[in-house]
Amino acid sequence: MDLMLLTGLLASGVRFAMPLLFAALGETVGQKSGVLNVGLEGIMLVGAFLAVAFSVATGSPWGGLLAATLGGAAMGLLHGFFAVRLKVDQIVSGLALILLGLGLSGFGYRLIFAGHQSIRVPGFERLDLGPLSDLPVLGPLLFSHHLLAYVGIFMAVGLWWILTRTGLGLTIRAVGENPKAADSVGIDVDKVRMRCAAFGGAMAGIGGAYLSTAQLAGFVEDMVAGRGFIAIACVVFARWNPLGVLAVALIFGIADAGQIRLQPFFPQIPYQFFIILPYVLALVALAGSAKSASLPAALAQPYRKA
Amino acid sequence: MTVPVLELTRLSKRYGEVTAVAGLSLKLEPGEVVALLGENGAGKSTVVNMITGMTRPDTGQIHLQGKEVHLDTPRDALDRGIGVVHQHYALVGNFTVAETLALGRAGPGVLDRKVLHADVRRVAERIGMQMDPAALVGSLDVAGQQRVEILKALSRKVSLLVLDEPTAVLSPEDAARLFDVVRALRADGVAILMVTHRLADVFAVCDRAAVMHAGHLVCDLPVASATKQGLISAMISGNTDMAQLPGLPVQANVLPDRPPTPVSDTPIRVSVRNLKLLRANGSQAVQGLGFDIRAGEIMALAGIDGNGQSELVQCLAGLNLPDDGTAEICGCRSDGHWTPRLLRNAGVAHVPDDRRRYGIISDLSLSANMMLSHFFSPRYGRTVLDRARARDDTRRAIDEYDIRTTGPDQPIGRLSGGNQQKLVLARELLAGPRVILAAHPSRGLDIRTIGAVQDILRRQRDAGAAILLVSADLDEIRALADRVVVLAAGTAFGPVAMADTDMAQIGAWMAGHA
Ligand SMILES: Nc1ncnc2c1ncn2[C@@H]1O[C@H](COP(=O)(O)OP(=O)(O)OP(=O)(O)O)[C@@H](O)[C@H]1O
Ligand SMILES: [Mg+2]
Repeated sequence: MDLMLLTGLLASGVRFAMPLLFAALGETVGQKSGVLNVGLEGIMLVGAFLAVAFSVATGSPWGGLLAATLGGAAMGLLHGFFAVRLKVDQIVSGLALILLGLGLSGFGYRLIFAGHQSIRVPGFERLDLGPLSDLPVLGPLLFSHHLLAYVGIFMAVGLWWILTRTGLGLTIRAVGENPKAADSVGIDVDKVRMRCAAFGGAMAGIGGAYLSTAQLAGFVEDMVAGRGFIAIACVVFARWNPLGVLAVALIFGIADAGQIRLQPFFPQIPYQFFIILPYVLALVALAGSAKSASLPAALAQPYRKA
Repeated sequence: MTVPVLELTRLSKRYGEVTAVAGLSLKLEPGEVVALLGENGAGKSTVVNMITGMTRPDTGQIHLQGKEVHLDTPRDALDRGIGVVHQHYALVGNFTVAETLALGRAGPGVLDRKVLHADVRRVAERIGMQMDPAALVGSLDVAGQQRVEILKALSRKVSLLVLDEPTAVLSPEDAARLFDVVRALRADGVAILMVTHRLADVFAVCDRAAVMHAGHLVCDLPVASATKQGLISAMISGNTDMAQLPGLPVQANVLPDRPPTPVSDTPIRVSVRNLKLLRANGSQAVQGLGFDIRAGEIMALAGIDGNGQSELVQCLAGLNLPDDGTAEICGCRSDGHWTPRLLRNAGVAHVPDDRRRYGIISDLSLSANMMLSHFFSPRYGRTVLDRARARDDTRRAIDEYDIRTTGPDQPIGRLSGGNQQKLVLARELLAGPRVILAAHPSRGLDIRTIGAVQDILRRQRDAGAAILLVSADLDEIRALADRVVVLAAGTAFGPVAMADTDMAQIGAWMAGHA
């Protein structure tokens, strides 16, 4: 493989990784606080839809991004309301979110865009750092992504720092490890969890927005196509470490970019085999990290006071 | 005249039809250590919960330093200078000691480890305690974790410290260290309320003894004028007439020293050879352990918690496989099939040490919990569960063990700790087991029930059961064991016959000296 091909592969790998990265970072924070949200898929769909709708309406991708973030946060809060406040089984509530997201986004899209032949979605501009972006290899790899991609990478580092080095991180981890311990020192467990759930939702919304306005340009029903689940796999595989999440999301992104590029080389193999590659990778990753000491001890367990 | 630190006035709390606490009034002066005594279910933990903001009283007032307060949440209690060490610790295993103390106190911003560590040292020094601020809480033994809980309480300004059964899990040495801390705090003017089942604790550090019976405070007197018999009488019968001893069947405080009767002709039921067990974190729990237990004998497994006892019992119960060596129970071998179901069918009963994790399901009723150990036996039917029979068994257990409950259908989580333990025991001994693995069977039980449980174990032994008794309580070991093996820091001492050793020797082994 020549250098150009490799550079292209890695650069598009980074792009493919971003939706996963945002969703997985949000889920990491949620799970660290004990809230498992298997409904990322649904939230990402709503985010993707809202981003398209509001980008078109406001004429700016940032308007879309804002709408997706808020919509995601609202769905995260909804999950929190059921799973944290009402203590509904977190899996059940998460599954409900998937269905809700599928329905809302598909219905909303038809409602607004039915009949429109082609809509032009204002996309994010790529960062142009002049000579830096023109550098061979490094240029396309490091200096020519959407601004949002750099935000994602920055957030991975920032969240890692917050979780490990600050009082806020201590509180979140305590709530997810032993809510009783947190409660006994006066921390409002449910409040912390609600906020983490909302944050997780907002991040999944951003992930969806990235997908529909930065990576692709437009909305298609069920366009998230399992990325919400891969994001959850990323969290587990990265052992709940945001830096690990960055690395794992990149691996998945590159695998995804790679399978697309491999398809033309092997026309005799049905292309579906290539498409499932990242999912197989996720399965293998999950099987390999089944029993991990970093699993938050109170994950998915509602907290009831004595 | 000093203002009392804490004054409870006619506190009452009902749960449904159960009156947990009835019109209790109690006062604590600064620098006073008060013992709160009472049988299982007397209402002690409920009092603790009301003082610490975990539950709200139905009626009555709480005054702190002369001012009436309403403690709706644990935070309210903390903010008003009430520290508490609950019976079950609330610690995060993968936090360091310093992080544990910072939780809830540090702001959301950056944590300065140096400052946090200095903080830990400062609090520890105040009461003459040794503590490594960087140690992971999960790597400490029970006594160490309790010290962390105490430091956690003291890291805020406290005028009242509440301890719920602090000595239940401690070795005699660690209990003595705890008492030193209590004395240091008393000298500092902190008032201390200590719930306990051990009368020795009362006479060791307490100034006053308050006894509860069925929710009522039946006596409150200076320790100097209390007698052991008097306190027991008040606990058991609610009788405040100190001179009168109740005519109840068990005087458990004076356990008769039973001449150990070694058996050598009965069949071997449990056999352990060169056993090696690792902890979940990979460290070595047990190494080169070997012993036999014959039908009709009680082997005590002595030692301070955390020295491999739980791992050994879990292995023998079929929950773990040995990492080396073999175990054999009633014809089942650990190198063949080795599962809890198989061992249960072979007649093994298991009273686990971590009751809330392995012993009960809190949300299920007493009778459903009764069925748990007999799930694969035909006792309650093979296909359709015979609930009526389970309810009958439960009802009988309630009578026999004097379990304080509203009936077989009450969720077991609503019972007091000691009463939960009684049901576990009743369930395990129900079907006439051939081997009994009893891990701290009397932990958290009141004196009378301890006597009853020990009686039952003796009767089971005489009926031919082989019993492994895990205990850190020398009195209990002396009262029950025929032989003893001691686990300390990964090494095993013994087994020896009780006749060939003495308590001093066993105590030394428990501390790790050969
Ligand atoms: N949440 C609850 N719901 C219903 N009943 C309860 C609840 N908590 C306690 N009780 C009942 O109140 C009574 C007093 O219980 P408490 O836990 O205060 O006893 P205790 O003195 O601490 O006993 P132990 O020595 O066994 O710990 C018991 O009969 C118990 O069943
Ligand atoms: Mg209690």
